[in-house]
Amino acid sequence: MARLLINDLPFHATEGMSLLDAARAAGLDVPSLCHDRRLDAASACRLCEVEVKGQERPLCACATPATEGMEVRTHTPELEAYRRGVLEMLARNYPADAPAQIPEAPFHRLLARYGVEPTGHRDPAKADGTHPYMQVDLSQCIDCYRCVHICAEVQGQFVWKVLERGGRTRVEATGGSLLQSECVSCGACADTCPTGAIVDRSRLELGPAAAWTRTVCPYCGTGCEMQVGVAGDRIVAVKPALDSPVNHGHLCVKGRYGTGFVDAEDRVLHPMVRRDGEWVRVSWDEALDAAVDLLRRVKATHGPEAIGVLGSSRATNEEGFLAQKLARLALGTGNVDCCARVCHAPSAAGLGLALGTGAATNSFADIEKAGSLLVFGANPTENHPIVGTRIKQRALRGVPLVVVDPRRTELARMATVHLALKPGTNMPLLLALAHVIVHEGLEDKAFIEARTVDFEAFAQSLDAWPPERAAEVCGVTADDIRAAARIYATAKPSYMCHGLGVTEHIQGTETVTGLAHLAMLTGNLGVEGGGVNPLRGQNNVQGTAQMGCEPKRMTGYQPMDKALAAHEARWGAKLPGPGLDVLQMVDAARDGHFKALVAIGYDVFLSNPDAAASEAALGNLEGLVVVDLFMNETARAFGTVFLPACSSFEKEGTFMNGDRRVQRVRAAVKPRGEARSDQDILCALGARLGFAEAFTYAGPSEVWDEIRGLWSAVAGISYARLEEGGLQWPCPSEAHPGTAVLHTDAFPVGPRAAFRPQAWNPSSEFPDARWPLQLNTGRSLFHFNAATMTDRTDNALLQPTDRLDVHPDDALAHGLADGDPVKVESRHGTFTMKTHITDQVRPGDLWCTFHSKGIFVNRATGQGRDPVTHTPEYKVTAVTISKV
Amino acid sequence: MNHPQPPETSDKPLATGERLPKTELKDFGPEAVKEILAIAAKYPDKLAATLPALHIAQRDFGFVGLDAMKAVAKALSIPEGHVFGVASFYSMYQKHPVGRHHIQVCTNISCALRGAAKLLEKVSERTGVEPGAGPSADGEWSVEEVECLASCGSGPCLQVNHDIYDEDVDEAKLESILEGCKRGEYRAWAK
Repeated sequence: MARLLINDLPFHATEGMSLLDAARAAGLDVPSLCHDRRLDAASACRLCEVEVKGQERPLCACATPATEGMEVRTHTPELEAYRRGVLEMLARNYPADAPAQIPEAPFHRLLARYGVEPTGHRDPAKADGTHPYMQVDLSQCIDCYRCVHICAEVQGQFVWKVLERGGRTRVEATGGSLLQSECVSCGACADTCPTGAIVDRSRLELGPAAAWTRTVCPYCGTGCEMQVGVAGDRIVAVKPALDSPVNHGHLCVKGRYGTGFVDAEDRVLHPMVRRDGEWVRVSWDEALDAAVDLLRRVKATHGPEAIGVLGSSRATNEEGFLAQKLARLALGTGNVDCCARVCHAPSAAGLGLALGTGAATNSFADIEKAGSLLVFGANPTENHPIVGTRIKQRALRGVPLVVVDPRRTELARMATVHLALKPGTNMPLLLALAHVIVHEGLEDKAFIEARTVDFEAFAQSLDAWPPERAAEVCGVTADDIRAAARIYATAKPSYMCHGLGVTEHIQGTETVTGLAHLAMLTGNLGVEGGGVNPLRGQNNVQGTAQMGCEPKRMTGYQPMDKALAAHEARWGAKLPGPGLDVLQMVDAARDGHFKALVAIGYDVFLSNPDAAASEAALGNLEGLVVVDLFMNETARAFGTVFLPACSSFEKEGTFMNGDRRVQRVRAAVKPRGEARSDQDILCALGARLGFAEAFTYAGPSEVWDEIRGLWSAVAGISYARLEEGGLQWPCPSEAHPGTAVLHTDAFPVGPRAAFRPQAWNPSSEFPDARWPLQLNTGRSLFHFNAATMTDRTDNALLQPTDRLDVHPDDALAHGLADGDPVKVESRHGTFTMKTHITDQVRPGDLWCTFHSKGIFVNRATGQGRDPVTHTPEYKVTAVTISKV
Repeated sequence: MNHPQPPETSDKPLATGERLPKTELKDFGPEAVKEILAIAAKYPDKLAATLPALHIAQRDFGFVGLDAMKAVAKALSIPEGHVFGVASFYSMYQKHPVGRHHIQVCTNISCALRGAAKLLEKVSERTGVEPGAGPSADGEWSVEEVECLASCGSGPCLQVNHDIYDEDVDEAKLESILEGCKRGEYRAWAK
C-alpha cells in the first residue's frame, strides 16, 4: 500500500500499481496508446507522461510504480500541450479517412479529444487483405508495438516484428502476408491494436457492436470467458474478457472468430419428422408428439432398457442434468451417457479410483506456479490453445518442459525433453519413469509415508520396466527417459496435464492411474503448481458427465449406490439402476435389444469408431430423436425426429470447465428460427411423458438449485455468486471461496491414496506384415471434433480439409508426393485423403485429423476399448496405404 | 563473458574480391552451432544470445542476409521474426554484401542539420558507389546510409568497417579517410 497525492487528492495505491493504474483508478483519464494490461509496460507512445514532484522531467506513468509520498500531476497545461504535440506528429502521416471508418478506436478518440486532424494518405503497398478474419493496413500503424508484444508475450507466436530503426522503423508480419506467416489467427493483435491497422474484418463488414454480453466460449474445455458484441441481433464481434482467471484476456481462433455457425445457411430452424424416408417440416407439437410416441411405443413393447439418452457435452450443466432426469425419471431407463465416453471417461474413472475425484486436481493458474511441466499425450497449443499459450510462455521463460507425444508438436519442439514414443506404449514409458524415480531415490519419501499405502507392491512391479527395456518398446532413448524422470521428480512442483493421447487407448484408465501414481510418488499432489490435470475436450464435457449423463453415476459423478436413494427421495419415484453406455447401446442395437435413442448434440455415427459397425447397429433402431443445430450425419442417416436446438449464444445456464470451474453462460442473441434451448425441449418431452411437475422450472437457476441439493460439492455455488465470476467446486457452502487445489490434506477415498501394481497390455492393433503402418488421429487448431460448428465458419478457409501426415521415408517407400491422394485401409474399413509429408510423425506412423465428414476417418478406426470405461482406441489402428 | 568480437584487423594485403561475402553458405557448420549454444547456455533466455550469434553469422557468412538470420533462428530455436528485427535494428550487422571498405554515414537529424546529405553524396561520388547499392565492381567500396551513430553534438559523422569513426567530417577529412583506406591504414572488412 502506498499513499500518494494525485492532482492534490490523496490516493491509496495497492501493491504493484503503476502511476497509470493509480491515476485511472482515481478516475482520471490519462491518455495512452501503447498500454495494455496484458503486457509489460512499453513506454513507447509517451502520451501517459505525468509530472512527479522532485523529478526534473515528466515520467511515463505506465512504467513508473506508484510509491509512498509521490505528488503527481496528470493534466497540467504543459502536459496537455505536449500530448497534443505527440498526437500531431503521429497524425501527420496518418490516413485522413481512418477516424471516420472506426471512430471508436482509441487513437481516433484521442485525436478527436485533442482536436487533431490527420493529414496523411494510405499506401496500398502496406495493406494486407489475405487473412479471412483480419484486415491489415500498416498505413495506420503508429509504432506502438502492441501487436508485436501481444503476439510474443501472450500468444508466443512472434509473427509481428519490428524492422529497422529510426524513421525507417516498421512493423511487419514474418513471412510476407499474415496468411503465409506462422499466424495462428488468435486475433490478439487485432484486439489490442489502438488504431485499426490490424482490425477484425467483421468490424469493417458488419459495423460496431451495440451491446456486449459476457459468456463462456462454446468450444474446448478450457472455458475462456468472452464478451460477445451484438448489433441488430447478430454477433458482430467477440473479445476476450480481460479479467478472466482462465484466459487472462486471450482467446484462440475458434473462440474469437468461430461464431459463424450461429447464422449458417444450413442451420435447421424448425422441427422435422421423417415421413416415407423424407424429412418433413412440422410444428413443435407434432414433433414432440412424434418423439414421445416413439419412446412410449418402444418402452411398452421392448421395455425401458431398449431406450437410451445421450446428453450433450455442448449443452449446459442444467441441460445435462435434465437429460439424465429425462432418462432415469421420465423414461425409467439407466441408459444415459455422453460423449465423455469417447474421450476423457478414463480420466474421470482413473482419477476417481486412485484419488477419489474424477477431475483435474489443480487449476490452470498452477501452470504459472510450477517448477516444471509435463505434457503427456496432449497437444494443447492446438486443442486447448489458451492452456497451450500459458505453457508456451513458461517454456519460453526457461521452465523445464517434458512432452510425451509421438508427434513433434509445437510444444515438443520447445521441450527440454521430447519423448516421441510409439502410440500404444504409454504404460511402459510411465512405469520406466517411475522406475528411474524409485531407483535413483528421487521419490518423495515423506509424502509416500504420510499420504499413500501399498507403495512396496507398486515399486516391485516397476522392476519389470528398467528404462532400457521401455526405451526399446517405446522407441525412445533410455537417457531421455531418465532425463524426463529427473525433471519431473526434482523441478517441483511439477504440473502435469494430459489429453486423449492417454485416454483413447485400450489401457486408458490404467494409464491415468499411472499418471496419478507418478504424482503420488513425487508428492506432486495437494500442492500448488502440481497435480494431475486432464485437459477436457469440450466446453462442458466435465459438466455433462458430472451432471449424471453416465450410466453408472448420478449427479455429481456420485456412484449409484451412494446417490440413488437421495435422487429417488427428491424425485419421488423409484429409479432404474446402472444402464448401458453409448458403445454398449450401439452393441445392443446391433443385437436387436435396443430400439430408440435420443441423441442431443452428439453425432454418434461420425464420432464413434468403426463406422460400419455403428451403421449396421443404428439401422436397427425403430427411431432416433436428434436434438441439434444441424443435420448431422447421425440425423441424416438414421434420424426420425429432429428437434432444432439453440446454440449457447442463445440461452442461459452454466458450463463447467476443465479446472472444475462453474461459469455463467448468457444469451447474447435471440434463438434462431423456431429453435429452442435443450432445457425447453427436455422439459417439454418430460411433461409429455407425464412428468409435468418434475419438469417445470422458472429458469435454469431453478434447475441448478436442484443440482445443488443433490450434490453437496456445488451447494455453495449460486447463480447470484456466479454473477461475480466463476467458482471451482468443491464449494460446499455459500461462504466457501471454492477450491483451486484438491487433496491438500486427504483424499475423498480416505486419508491415504493406494498404489497398485501395474503392467502393460499391448494393443492388438500394432502393425504386422499385413498392416504395416500405424494410424493415429486427433484434432487441429482450426476445427473442433466433428467440425459441425467450425466447418460453418471461415476456419474452413484456414484449414479446408483433413490431411494424412506421412513421414518422408514412408512417402518414399509408397511413391507418394506431397498432396497425393492416398487410400488408408484397416481391418475395419477405408478412407481416402491427401498426403502431407512431414517428419513431425515417426517413421511408420500416420496421423490425421478426423474433422471432415466427407472423408469419414472413423470408417477405419477399430473396436479396441478400454475395459473399464469402454473408451475406444482411436489412437492405434494398424493400416496399410496405397496411392490412389 | 566471452563474446565474439567484431571482425579482427588483418594487416595482410588482400586480393581483390577476397573479402566478398561467402555467399555459398546456407547454414552454420557444426562448430559454429556449438559455439552459439555455448554462448546461449550462459543466459536464462535464449533470446539473449541473439546478438553474439549474429556476430558469428556475420563472421561465417560474411554478411547477415536472410539465410544467416534464419540460421541464427534455427541454431537457437528462436523465432525468425525476432532475429530479423534485431539484425535490422543494428547498423553493425550488414544485411547485404559489402566491399572491403564499408562506409556508413549517419543522416539523422543532428547530422542532417550539419550537412550529412552532402557528405553522403560526396562519399558516393568519391567511391563511385550508390548508397545501399552493393559493393563496387572491384570489391573495394560500399556505402550505406544509417541511423544515429551517437555523435549528435559533432556531426556529420561516418564510420568505416565499424572500426574508424570520424566526427565533423568535412571534405578534407573525408579525403584523408579515403586515402587512409587505400593505403590500408584501417582494418578491412571481415576476415
